[in-house]
Amino acid sequence: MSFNIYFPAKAHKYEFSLLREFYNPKRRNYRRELEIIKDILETVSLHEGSTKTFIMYRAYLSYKSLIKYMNKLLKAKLLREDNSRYYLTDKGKFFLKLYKEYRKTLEELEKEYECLEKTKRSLKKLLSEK
Amino acid sequence: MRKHKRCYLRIVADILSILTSRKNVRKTHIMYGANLSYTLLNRYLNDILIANLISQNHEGYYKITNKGMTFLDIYESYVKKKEQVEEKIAEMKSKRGELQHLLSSQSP
Repeated sequence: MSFNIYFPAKAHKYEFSLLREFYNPKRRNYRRELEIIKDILETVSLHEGSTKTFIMYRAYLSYKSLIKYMNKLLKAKLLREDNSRYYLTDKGKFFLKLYKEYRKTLEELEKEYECLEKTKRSLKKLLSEK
Repeated sequence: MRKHKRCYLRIVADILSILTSRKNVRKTHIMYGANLSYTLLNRYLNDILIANLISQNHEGYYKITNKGMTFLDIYESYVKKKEQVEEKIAEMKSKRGELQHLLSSQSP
């Protein structure tokens, strides 16, 4: 599992673009939340019956924020608790699958967008050269 | 609702496409075809002439050059691709909505 280097670094790049909504610095919290939830769920899926501390280290979270997200996940029934050990529900598995697809298409889209910007630049170059 | 402002590239492409469809085009034709005012048209034509996308003969008629044709081709493919990307972005938004819905405790 890697750190989330994905968002903050690229946020500014797309500030005035089509992909703005997904990378807007002002809305970064939302993206981060999905990513954190994915990290938590992935940890639990790889290690069934993880304890809170284990998840905390694997998802790179503080105890306080872990509790915040865990409560949300338990409430939404993506996780279930059994004797202070945590297990993934079917809904949680579905979420994880859906999120991975989402993330993959977003990366593809990003590449396509870069390609688009390149053609735009070449058009502008045609206009500017003498 | 008000229509979106055309971007610079779009206006240039509009001007060039008029030149491809007709021969012996004068300034006024371009002006009406591209929906531009005279001052704006002069500004754009000046830029395009300097960039060699069109040429002007001694009678004052405008003609599109090869470079202008390649510009139009690239622009068309650009627009097509842009539409595709926009569609995909809409798809992504709905997918994100689904994820959000799963996170809310009301969903089954």
